[in-house]
Amino acid sequence: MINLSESELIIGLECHVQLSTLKTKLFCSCSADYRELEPNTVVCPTCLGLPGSLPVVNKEAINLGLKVAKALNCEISDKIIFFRKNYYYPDMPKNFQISQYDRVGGIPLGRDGYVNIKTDAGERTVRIRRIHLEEDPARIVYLGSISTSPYSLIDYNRAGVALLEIVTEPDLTSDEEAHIFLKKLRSIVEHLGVSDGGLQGSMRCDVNISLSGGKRVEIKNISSFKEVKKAIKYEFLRQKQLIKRGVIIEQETRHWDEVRKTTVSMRSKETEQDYRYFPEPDLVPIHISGEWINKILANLPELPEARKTRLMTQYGLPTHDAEVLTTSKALADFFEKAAELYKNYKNISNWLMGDVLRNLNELDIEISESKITPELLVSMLKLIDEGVISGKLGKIIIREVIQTGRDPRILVEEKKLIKISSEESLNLYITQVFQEYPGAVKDALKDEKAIHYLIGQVMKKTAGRADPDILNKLVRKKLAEISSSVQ
Amino acid sequence: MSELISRDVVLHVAWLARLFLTDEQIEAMTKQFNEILSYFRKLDRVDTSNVPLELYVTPLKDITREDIVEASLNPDEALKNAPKREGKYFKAPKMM
Amino acid sequence: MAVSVRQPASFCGVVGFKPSYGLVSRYGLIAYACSLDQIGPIGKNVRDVAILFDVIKGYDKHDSTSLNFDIGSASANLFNEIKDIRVGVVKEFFGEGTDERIESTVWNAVKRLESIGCKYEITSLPYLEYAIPAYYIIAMSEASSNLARYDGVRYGYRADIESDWNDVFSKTRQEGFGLEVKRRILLGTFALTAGYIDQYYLKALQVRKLIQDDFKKAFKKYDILVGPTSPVLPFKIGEKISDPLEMYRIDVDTVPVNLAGLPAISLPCGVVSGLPVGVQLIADFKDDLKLLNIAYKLERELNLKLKPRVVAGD
Repeated sequence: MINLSESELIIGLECHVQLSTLKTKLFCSCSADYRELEPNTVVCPTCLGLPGSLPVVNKEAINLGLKVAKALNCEISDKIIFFRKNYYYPDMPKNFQISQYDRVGGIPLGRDGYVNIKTDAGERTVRIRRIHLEEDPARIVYLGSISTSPYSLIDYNRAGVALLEIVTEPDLTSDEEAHIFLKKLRSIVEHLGVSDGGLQGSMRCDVNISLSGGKRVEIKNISSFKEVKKAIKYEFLRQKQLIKRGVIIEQETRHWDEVRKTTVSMRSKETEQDYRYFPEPDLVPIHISGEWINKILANLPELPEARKTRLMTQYGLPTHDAEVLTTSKALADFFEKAAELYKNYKNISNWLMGDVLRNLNELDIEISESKITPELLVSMLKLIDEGVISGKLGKIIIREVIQTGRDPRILVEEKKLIKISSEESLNLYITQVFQEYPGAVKDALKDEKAIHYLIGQVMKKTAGRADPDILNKLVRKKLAEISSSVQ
Repeated sequence: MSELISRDVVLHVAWLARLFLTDEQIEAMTKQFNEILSYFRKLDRVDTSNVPLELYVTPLKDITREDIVEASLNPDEALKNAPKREGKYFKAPKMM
Repeated sequence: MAVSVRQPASFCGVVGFKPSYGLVSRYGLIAYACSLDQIGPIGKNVRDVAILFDVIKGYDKHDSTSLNFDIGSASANLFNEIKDIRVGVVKEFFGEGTDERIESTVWNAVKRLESIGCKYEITSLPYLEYAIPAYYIIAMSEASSNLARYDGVRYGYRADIESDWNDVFSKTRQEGFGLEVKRRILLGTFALTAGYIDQYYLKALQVRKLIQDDFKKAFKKYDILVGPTSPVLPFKIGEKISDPLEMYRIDVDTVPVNLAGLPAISLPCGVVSGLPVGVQLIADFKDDLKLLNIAYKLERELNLKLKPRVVAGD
């Protein structure tokens, strides 16, 4: 987390959320499911910008956009008007982007909304300036990085996929806050069923940063929410260094070089007022009736806030647990599926919030990318409850379950990890230890603390499988026998 | 005739349009710009203060399509006219 | 381009018809100015044009501005009897700069309308005076954007230089576009630029609305409006290219219709100094069939026997 003691950091975000649950692109009937395909296989005259081609709006895209606008507490415009944003880049097949605008007769789909987020400093409101629909540019493949690649390769499969641009007011003050906001936004769009944040590149972000009241620098091309944090941190340090040296920060657009983890100034420097927005003459206005809005409202699914409250009442979870679980739809879904199979809800929550999330973080993956399922987690919890394995062992095998998706029961058997609770077996280990450490035995007869040393040695020999309670009892029993035989 | 548009504005517009002109062309274009634009400014004589901003000439509205996938081009066809390609990609110049 | 049906037809002594905006799909038409472009047939006579129109018209789901509306068969409708047709002769179409010989030729045709059951009177659409600047500002603005796709990445010409995107893109445009196209791109880019958009592009949209309203008012009184198709006689190729403003002004009679999205037809009505003159008839939005019907009757009434004359080129 950035230390803000000396500088005032102001961050505004322009988030681009792909409406990835749509079947087709925004303005043509090509499949929007472009991932893991050969390049340039889901393209048509319209999304390639061929002369003579024309756009036709996907109605469902507007529907999804309206859902998000409502969920983010926005005012909804009474009509949808598309504008052309003119700039030239090879990822734009027409060298203009069909987008929306809020001036010269334009109006965005949604405006003046807000999202509440919970930070270490408490509840905060992040205002949403506007939400609008636009088309995704193509994907450019570089040899190495953008700044060094000798040419660019273009794959237009992504070109024309429906994007929702969500612009915040500059209400964020740290990389951490930006991250929390983005996670919340992702959870909301996932709960709405409009986007799957787990898909590579389905949520991207441009960041506007200014420091100590200086000029605003825009960082473009950040391809995932994880990278946003890194980019903010880098840009913060870069600007701070410059300010320290007395350099005045100029307003500019920089590009996030994901490979080298730096921001690079972009040579072409069109600004907002150079885009020459004008109404898209190939499309007609679309009116949003009150009836349409009511239908949206009636079918709005449960959102993270509501789900949090429900998790608390339905499963008796503490606020914090419900809060953490609903930061991700996948996590909350996981919890609820597990809760159908296993009734100690708090125990599920503890494991999810503790060891599962910790391991996912360390592996840098999401729960949806991991191999663990609610069934597998519950299977492991039952092994612990039945006394087959200790909680300590559970912590060890959970990582393997996450990585391999194998059944904990089989893992435990294969590794002979089953807890040793038979007195007979444990006594064999105890006898062995007592023979090996006669000095420790002597100490233990006088000093309570030395008993733990002996117990520890037995644990070591059993690779942690000894049932701690029984072991404790047996060691004390054995010492008592020695003590009475000596007297 | 007073100058409506300076050479600098023409230069800026040429940059926006990525049409780079020689010095002579800029001179000539500035002159023509001024002639043409002062003719266009005939519109100043029309009082439009009470005219609503109508963005469309067509009376049509609410034209959309359903979210149903239709066939895309076959990839060879898509790439057939590319001046430069590499494998299945269109090849464009470097960005920086 | 939007006016490249009626005016060339008039210059060549043939019939050119621009249908109502949206009756012929623009899908497949290389866009110049989307809100003004309309495909229309050119033919030897009104009947040929009507037959061709019947083939190319109709709803197309690929064009969002396509009218989902069946106006019926134009060619079958030609033979309908007409009566009590009210004709407005638009004063502004005979304005300053109109060749007097064209004026009198067109007036002769107008008078002949009486013999086919039309009544005419002179009328005025005051905002037509502003059609040229409004049309050119909108057309150039849209064109500046429409022509941006020719970057030589997916198709078309690409400058043969090894450099970065910006350089290659500029060079491609530099080499690929002609002078007049570049001029229009520059003017269109300018008209949309922040700081100027209010005075040019947005102003033009408002004037367009006024022109549209002028037509609406006129069509409450008249079935069709008439005037010449062009203020000047045909000129030699390249003759006006050095004076763009002069060239734009020649479109004075044809562009108002494009601004309002109306149907209009040009048909030959006489010859001056061996050069053909066209009369333009304009109808209300979606009144294309009525327009062709009247044009057909007028054509029969005029009964011109134009013979192509081969002249030696320069």
